[in-house]
Amino acid sequence: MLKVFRFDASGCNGCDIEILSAVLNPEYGITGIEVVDAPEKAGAMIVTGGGNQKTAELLREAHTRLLEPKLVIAMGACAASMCVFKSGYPMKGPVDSIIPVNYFVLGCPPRPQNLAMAVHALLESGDEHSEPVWIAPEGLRARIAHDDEKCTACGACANMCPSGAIDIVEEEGEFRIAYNLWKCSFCGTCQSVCPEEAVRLTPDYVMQDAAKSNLVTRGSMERMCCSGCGKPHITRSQFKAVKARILEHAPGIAQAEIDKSLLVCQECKSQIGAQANARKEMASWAYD
Amino acid sequence: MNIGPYHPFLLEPWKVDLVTEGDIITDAKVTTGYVHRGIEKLLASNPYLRGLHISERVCGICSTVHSQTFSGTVESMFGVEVPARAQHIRVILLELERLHSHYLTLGLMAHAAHQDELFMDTMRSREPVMELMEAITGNRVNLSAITIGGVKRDINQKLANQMKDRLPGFWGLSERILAALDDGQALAERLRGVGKIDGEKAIRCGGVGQTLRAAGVSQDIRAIEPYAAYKDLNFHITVENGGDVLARTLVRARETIESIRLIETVLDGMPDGPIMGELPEPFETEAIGRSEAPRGEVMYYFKANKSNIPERVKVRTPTFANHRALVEMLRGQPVTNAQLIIESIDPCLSCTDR
Repeated sequence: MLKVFRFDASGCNGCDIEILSAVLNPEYGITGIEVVDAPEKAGAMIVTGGGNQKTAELLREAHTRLLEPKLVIAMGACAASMCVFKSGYPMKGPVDSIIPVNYFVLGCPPRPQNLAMAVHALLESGDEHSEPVWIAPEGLRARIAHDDEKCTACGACANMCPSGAIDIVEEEGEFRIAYNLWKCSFCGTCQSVCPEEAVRLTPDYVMQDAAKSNLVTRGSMERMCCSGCGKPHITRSQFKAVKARILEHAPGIAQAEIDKSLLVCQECKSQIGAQANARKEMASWAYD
Repeated sequence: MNIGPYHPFLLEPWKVDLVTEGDIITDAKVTTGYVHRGIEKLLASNPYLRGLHISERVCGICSTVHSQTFSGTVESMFGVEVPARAQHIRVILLELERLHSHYLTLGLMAHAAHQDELFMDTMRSREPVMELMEAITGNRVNLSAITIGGVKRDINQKLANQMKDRLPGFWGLSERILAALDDGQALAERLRGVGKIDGEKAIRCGGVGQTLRAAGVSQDIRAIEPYAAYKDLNFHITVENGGDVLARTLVRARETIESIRLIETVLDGMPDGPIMGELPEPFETEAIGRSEAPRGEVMYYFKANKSNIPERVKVRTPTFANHRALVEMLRGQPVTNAQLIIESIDPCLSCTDR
């Protein structure tokens, strides 16, 4: 029986009531632990919240008082990254920068089953709990899925994300997108702002790992090269989306013409324009 | 005598220092700030649609009421028309949240009074409420369902039927809790006369929610300043006259019945139509919005300019308003009653500290 101490390091309470639910309802599958009321009596600690000026010191102190083996589970996105409170002025976290963390359980808050599985993974007990036995309802907001074919790398999701969990970078001639699930609040804003329906929150609620950097959904969008200068230009999906819009508004236009004009990058286009203007100018000199 | 910041009977970190004379509490000092995250500053430095999700995480137990007050205040400030169907869905979500919050508190109250059977019953029977919220919105705690101008997800017929099937179960739980609070029952007798405060004093201390309603003051923002679809709905404001812990617990238990009734009414008379309204461009203005959270009154103040980031946001939450009344309730009581009295205002520190 592992004794566990719960430490609220300035979270919103959501994770704490889920711990209560998980511990009191046997159907969620938490076995082999007992929640105790002081770190001196416990060998493990579940930390919720990101840690602020007042709690960071208390957290460090509680960790020193913890008995061996001093296991720490960081529960929720706040503990892993401070989530939406990242830029809050009193924040001193995340938890793994204050004390060593053995396991991260993600979600905002994590599903009780997810916590149960993390406990079993940490205790290396119970094969029956290593696989999810509970079927999540349709529409549960958990692990993010990304569709490379549809994404145009417009950046609307990264701009509107309340916790700044989405990174879009340009690398080796392609756009790479990373949804850092350990920063994610699973609010669904990315899904609702995406104009191409390329991002979706799936019911896959099992998100846990010993290293938080493993908990990322990645996507990469290949870019088509400019027919003028040969440099990487627009993504295939952007090409398709713009072409579809042009055809919708100007159905008579020849498709080959659209392809040609879309494949020339902005720089080359402005050069072509400048050359045409220069030619016009020079022609007017000849007349004089 | 110090309680906290981490103490077995406090769900969240805070500190209550009791000054005692022998066994009797003469004064109390409440220290907060352990859950402070600087949310007001964050709200005033993020665009409205991002701020909405930050405000929702003020509190994990009453997250929907925060997103409702945030959205409601922004809507009234910029004159956004919210479709009737969205307003009705909001009422369902808010009442489900009130149910789960009240059941949690009632369970913890039973635990504090050593009624473990009722505590376990409440905590287990409360799970279907969480599952319903998850089925509707996709998360058990932070629903992220309400947005400025409407709601994100609709309730279809299948979900409505699922809810109707579950409601009798909640009704049964509420009846069991009320039966335990009947005259002569062990729980009722333990709570009777503990932490008394009269109506006049409660008002003078700035109390809100059950602190007032249990002391004979009929005050409910849903009736005074109706938001969402509450003005089209008939509901009964629960008032008790005892002013003690028993009265506050009774008010909560009766309110769960009222919430179930409200959800039934809304499900039967849900208007058809869209669930999102049109959003205008921001302009310079200011507004105050209030809602009745499970614990009492929540107030948001907004000052807007022409940008999509508010200039100032102020949040006032019920637990903070009840602190003064809590000190009055603790005075003159034996130390053994402190836990019951603290539990009876249903403290929510993540709201208070923000």
